[in-house]
Amino acid sequence: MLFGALLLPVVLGACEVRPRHISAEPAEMSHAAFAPVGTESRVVYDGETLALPIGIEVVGEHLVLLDGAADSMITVLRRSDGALVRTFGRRGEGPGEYKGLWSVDAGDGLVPGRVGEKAAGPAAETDQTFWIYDVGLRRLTHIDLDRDFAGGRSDVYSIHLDANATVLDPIWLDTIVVGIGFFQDGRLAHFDATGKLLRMVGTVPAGDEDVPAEVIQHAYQSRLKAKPDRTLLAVVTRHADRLEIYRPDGTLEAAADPPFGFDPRFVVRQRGERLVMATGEDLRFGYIDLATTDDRIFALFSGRTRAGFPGVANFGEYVHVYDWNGTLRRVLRLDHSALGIAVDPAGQILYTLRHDPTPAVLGTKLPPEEGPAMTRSARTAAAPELRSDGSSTMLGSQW
Amino acid sequence: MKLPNRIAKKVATLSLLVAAGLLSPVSVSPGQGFAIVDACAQGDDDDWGGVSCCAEFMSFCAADLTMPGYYASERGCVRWHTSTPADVAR
Repeated sequence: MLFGALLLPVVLGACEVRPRHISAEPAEMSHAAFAPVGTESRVVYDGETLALPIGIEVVGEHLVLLDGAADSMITVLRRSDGALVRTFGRRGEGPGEYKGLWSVDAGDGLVPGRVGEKAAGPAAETDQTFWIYDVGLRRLTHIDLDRDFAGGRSDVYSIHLDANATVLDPIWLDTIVVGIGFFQDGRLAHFDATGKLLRMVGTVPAGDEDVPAEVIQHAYQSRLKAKPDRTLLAVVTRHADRLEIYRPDGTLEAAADPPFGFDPRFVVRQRGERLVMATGEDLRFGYIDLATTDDRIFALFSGRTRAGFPGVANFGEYVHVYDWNGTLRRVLRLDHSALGIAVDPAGQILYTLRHDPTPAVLGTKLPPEEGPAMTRSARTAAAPELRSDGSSTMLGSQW
Repeated sequence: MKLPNRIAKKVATLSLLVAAGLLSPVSVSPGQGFAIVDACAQGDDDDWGGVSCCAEFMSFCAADLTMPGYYASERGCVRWHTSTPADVAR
């Protein structure tokens, strides 16, 4: 055991942290061969309620924002005009409080207390309900904008996910919850409606057999979103350009051809009695967020290294648009660096989170798709038409 | 009087930079203002002014722990979940 731990840095020499010649690595992956489509955004909301927005989701006619530093950690906006609807969510660990906001699940009209039954009546018709996930508390909390804030409900309905590991991006699939995380086995975890762990499904990303599974899972930290009809799951990797599409049972349905083909750079280190992942300045960020519609997956891509973009490598300016077969359809270039994205159900407006110069939600009306999918041959053919500086061509999206 | 979040954030960042200058390169123990989670994504070097765990937004220090107490920004290491200068200065 000890021998194996001592041997690990040798075994993993190929991904040693802090290479001597970091400059040999491009600070950002070039998209010249993808003929990115330029876009133009406008500010939807930049009110004083925002401090450090970290998550955004479309819930019916609303936008739900998660904030890492605001006094009220959750902000609800009206999508049509960006009007502030409500802020709520104080910091804490009690009912209705939050410690580490992570994600929002529109919830598909699920009814607390009768999970698995679709809501009938106003909640289902107006999309007033959603679930907030707190990674620090490993807790899903149900929100009903109509009932919770109209004096109609005094209790807080929440579910604690009973897993001995970090769980990320849990979403409802009919009567169960599925999440991704740093599990010792499996790629996805299934929980019942009370939060009890049912099973692990799928396989841990491939790695050296001497590296603990949870370390590999950490290195391959991913985001998970469902197709709106919840028949497929899209998983994108934070430190690689990997998109995987799973069936709910954990079967891999498709894996996209990686646009650049890079994997997480990490080493395994001994910390006390534990083996953990360590990374350095050469760590590159891949897909940092995603959003889905019935026919498209929008994956926000960084491609930046820590060394090249100190403090902002986890922001991205490019959105890779895939179909649900895992085929890259086109690449969008934002006019700003974004941390999070969401998309309207029609796939016409992309909402993004910006931090600088001021925290804001931006909206980008997407230009219609034109031309074939981004096959390798199409990329090669497109490259010579680009300007020598590799910049993109603005196709126009008046907003 | 409560400051608007954005102003509070700027003041907090400034306060942290001053604090970091005073403290660096001495690591600060948990309970003294820096809720350090070890085994950071940054390894064990003092890349962040003595803070041994300062990862980017939505990154983790170790696989079985929650988010780091600090996040890396263009302005250096900033305390996660900070909304008032007092949170940083204490």
